[in-house]
Amino acid sequence: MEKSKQRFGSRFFKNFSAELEHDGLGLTALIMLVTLFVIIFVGQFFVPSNIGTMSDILNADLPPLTGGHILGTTDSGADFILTLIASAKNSLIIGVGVATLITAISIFFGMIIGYFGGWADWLAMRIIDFWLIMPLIMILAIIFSTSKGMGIWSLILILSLISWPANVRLVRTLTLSEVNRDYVQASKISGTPWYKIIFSGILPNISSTIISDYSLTLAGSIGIETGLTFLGFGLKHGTSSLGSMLQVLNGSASTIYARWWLWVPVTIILIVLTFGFVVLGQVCRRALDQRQTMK
Amino acid sequence: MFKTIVRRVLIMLPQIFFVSILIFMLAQLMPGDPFYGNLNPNSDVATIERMRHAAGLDLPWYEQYVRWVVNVFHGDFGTSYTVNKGVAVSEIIGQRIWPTVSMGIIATILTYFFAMSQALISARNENKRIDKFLVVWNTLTSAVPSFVFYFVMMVLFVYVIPIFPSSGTGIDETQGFFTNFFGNLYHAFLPALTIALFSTNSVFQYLRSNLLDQQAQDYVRTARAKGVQIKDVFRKHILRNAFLPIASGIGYSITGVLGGAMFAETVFGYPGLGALFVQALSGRDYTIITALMLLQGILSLFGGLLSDIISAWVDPRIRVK
Repeated sequence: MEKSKQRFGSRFFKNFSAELEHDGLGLTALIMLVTLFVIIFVGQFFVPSNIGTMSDILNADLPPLTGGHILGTTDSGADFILTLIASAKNSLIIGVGVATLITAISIFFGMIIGYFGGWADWLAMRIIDFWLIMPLIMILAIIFSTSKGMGIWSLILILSLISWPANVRLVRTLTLSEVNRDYVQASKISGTPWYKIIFSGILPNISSTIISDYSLTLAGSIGIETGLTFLGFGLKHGTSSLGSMLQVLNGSASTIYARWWLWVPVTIILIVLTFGFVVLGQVCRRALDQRQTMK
Repeated sequence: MFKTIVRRVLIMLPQIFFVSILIFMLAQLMPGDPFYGNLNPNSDVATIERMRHAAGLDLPWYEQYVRWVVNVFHGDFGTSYTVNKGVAVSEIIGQRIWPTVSMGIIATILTYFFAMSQALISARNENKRIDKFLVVWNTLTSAVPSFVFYFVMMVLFVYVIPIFPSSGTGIDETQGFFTNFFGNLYHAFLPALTIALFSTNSVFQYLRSNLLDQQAQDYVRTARAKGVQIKDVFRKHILRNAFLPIASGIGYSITGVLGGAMFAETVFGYPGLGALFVQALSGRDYTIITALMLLQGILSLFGGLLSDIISAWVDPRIRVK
């Protein structure tokens, strides 16, 4: 068992690097993300723990390249680059947290209702269809605004609990297309228990789509958090995130032009994080499913 | 066809009930109430209690729910507490709805225009450089939160090339219809164009794979074997078959209107319903929040209905059953 797992892993990495040789964009995304990880990991040791709550009015709102601050300072007087590192770390935690939680929920429930069908499936699908046409971003904004802002972990939990339906529906559809295949029928007849059929029979066959969906969910939840915090209904004051760095632009159009250095670096980090993960997810999907390979 | 529509409408009735329950629950979740939220040293507890009683806030939740539903059916959404104190919510929404509607319509038309032309170019040049570029571009715009693109467009077309206004809706009550119409068009165009440019992904991906599918069909080979030019095959056969299914998506695009407008209207300083929602949430103006949520919820349900009707109308195979 251990041996076959190892073989699967090494095969995946072989395919993965083979894909990257043909895909310049994927390689770029990987390099940028790794660079960002290293910067976040090393940089966090230099970030003071009170960076979100400090207020140093004398040094506030400095433009770039003044007073020893390469990108200037934020409106509370913290160094912009250090705030950026703290924010990128928080956004990354939120993205990975929400995507992992949602993917776990969707694999568990989606596969079970897809495999068994029946009234549970019918009921779940009615709930999902209903939930999908609701204005989820507005509901999230209301829930977040009920308290004076959210901590990171409660934000992850609520975001996951509100936005799981699309992922569950995807996993269910994928499971439905596998259930009637011959190999599933064969293992049913030979008496394999259902959980083994689901998790070691069907799951590997649909994993390539689940992985690319994981990266999309990750990018999407970073986007939702950033957007809602930008509007003022997200993380609580004192927790720096990419959205709270953009909050100074909210409602003042001239700032966007006059002080472009406030949002251009944040936007670049956002693009690397979200686009990088989506591209990398697609590379993983092609590496797992060799029918889609670029070669 | 008639049967399909009736069935679909019947499904909608319980949905409307659930939407109202959901929104009412969210409203109950919000802390405080408008009267105790505005305490000052001269407040008298007895007066506040009397006002709470008049507003029905001391009743159990199910009686409040019934009261709320009955009021809504009479078109009474209550009065605003903080955004525009004392003015009826229906009046505030009435003032703000047209900017959002006009922006939404322009944005939808432009989105479909951009997405369709991009998909067509992509499918005609499969695996060539332009196709790869368009696929990557659409992945980029869907992955990155769209409001950062709004900053870029704002800087480009308001400040660097100053051809669009930086805020306002261009609607002025004292002016005549035509001044308002063109003024609003001028103000709504940049937000609408920006939304459209960066939200093409879903239609683009769907249409592109549809077009590629259709190109490989037998009828295309037959037509080509007859000697029909590929351009004509596209115009007469492929386009029709590939474009019809996306018509049903128009209904669903209503679902995200207000949620998307929250960001676009805030960045572009365009005071429509999305900006109103943000304003009301910051000021905890519950009557406006619940009214807007109800409006969006009901609109979404009608959007879903519209989509299902269009797809049944376009594709007869769905009607069976």
